[in-house]
Amino acid sequence: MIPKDVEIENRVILQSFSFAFQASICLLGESGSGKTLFLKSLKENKNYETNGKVSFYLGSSIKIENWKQELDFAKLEKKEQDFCVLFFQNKENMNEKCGLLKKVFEFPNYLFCDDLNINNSDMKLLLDYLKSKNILLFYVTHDIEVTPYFSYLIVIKNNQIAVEGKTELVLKEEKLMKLLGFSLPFYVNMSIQLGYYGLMDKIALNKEEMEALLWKSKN
Amino acid sequence: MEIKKLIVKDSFSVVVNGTKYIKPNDKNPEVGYVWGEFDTKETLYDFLKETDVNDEKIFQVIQMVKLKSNLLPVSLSYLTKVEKKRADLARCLLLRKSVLVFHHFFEGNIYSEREYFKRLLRNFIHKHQIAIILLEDDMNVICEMVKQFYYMEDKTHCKLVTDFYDEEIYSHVSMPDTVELLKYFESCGHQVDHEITFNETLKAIYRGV
Repeated sequence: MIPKDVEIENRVILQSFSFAFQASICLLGESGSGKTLFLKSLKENKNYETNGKVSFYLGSSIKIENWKQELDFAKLEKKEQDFCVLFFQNKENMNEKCGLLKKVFEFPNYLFCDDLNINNSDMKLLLDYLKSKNILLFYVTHDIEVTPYFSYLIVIKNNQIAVEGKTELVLKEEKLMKLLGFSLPFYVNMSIQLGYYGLMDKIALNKEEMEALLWKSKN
Repeated sequence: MEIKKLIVKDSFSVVVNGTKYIKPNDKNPEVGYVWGEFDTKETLYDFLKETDVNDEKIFQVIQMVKLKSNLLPVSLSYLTKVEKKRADLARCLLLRKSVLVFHHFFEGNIYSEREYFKRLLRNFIHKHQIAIILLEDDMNVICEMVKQFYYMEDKTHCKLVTDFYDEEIYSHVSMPDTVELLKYFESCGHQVDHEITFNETLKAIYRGV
């Protein structure tokens, strides 16, 4: 629960809102909408109520040379080691990945995380791992492409919630999302457009699903 | 050094994966860098006022780069990454730079803002003869903006890429969604034309199915 508005220099960043944290949530908003400040305010002012352990990852400025050393790899459990090996297979943004995993391996109940510069397959890997550990992620981003990986979506506009709900239902509101300034995720958008051509009647979330739907419907 | 080479060849070039090798410097008065990194705590207004223009002009330009006027008295250090880059762009425009170098400029912008800035950049080139260089590693942005681009292989070598389906360039950057999708269809044995933009890909799938 957020009891008061988030303000900085007398500028209201985000009007107060509350949410039930029962599944991983994605908070989507444009630049300057107060997403990061919202997380910073939560972290610094602790203006939330919860029974579980809470961790925050708001980015890392530390340059990491050896992720194995940094994460004390040898002391990790087998499951964590396997996850790390897969997660670090792609060498992009190692500093961010390492900073994030340090927080993950604190094993909180709730993890609040600011926009990560990682690709979609790494995001999926991370979410699968967090789910297996019963860690709920509250993820803040401007990137609509990652939203299908979350079960609940909150979209903010002009300092307040514009729309929220199950991700699939929110993303189907094509006109509303465009009105809010967001294009749909690539595969969702492609599915809808192909639907107008009469080629698809369902939403595909990845290339495999799209191929199956397109050529299956033909056959 | 590479910048000069690119400007001569193309007024609207993209360098992939080479951003870290091009550092901003103020030695060339014609070149403006839209970098968004500041070591100062001065306000946005003071930052723009240093260009010796009147307030009316400042208001016009911040409107053009989609910065809200209530940010003018705010310290640059409180601005978001996107706002900082827009502040840099506003300053470059006030200083009438004829070459603009953008560093990951589209990152962090939502769809409508991306579309707006794509149009704005095209206007700079065609109406105001400002040369634009985009330093970018997001292939989805590149696909929607250009038909060819320069791929920076290392500190000194640039390769002109005209085929977005060339596997070689994807060893360091992620494949664009459109290319990845059509390549996948191809690997499944379906014949689909090679396209790069969203709309053309849509039509190619329609034809292929």
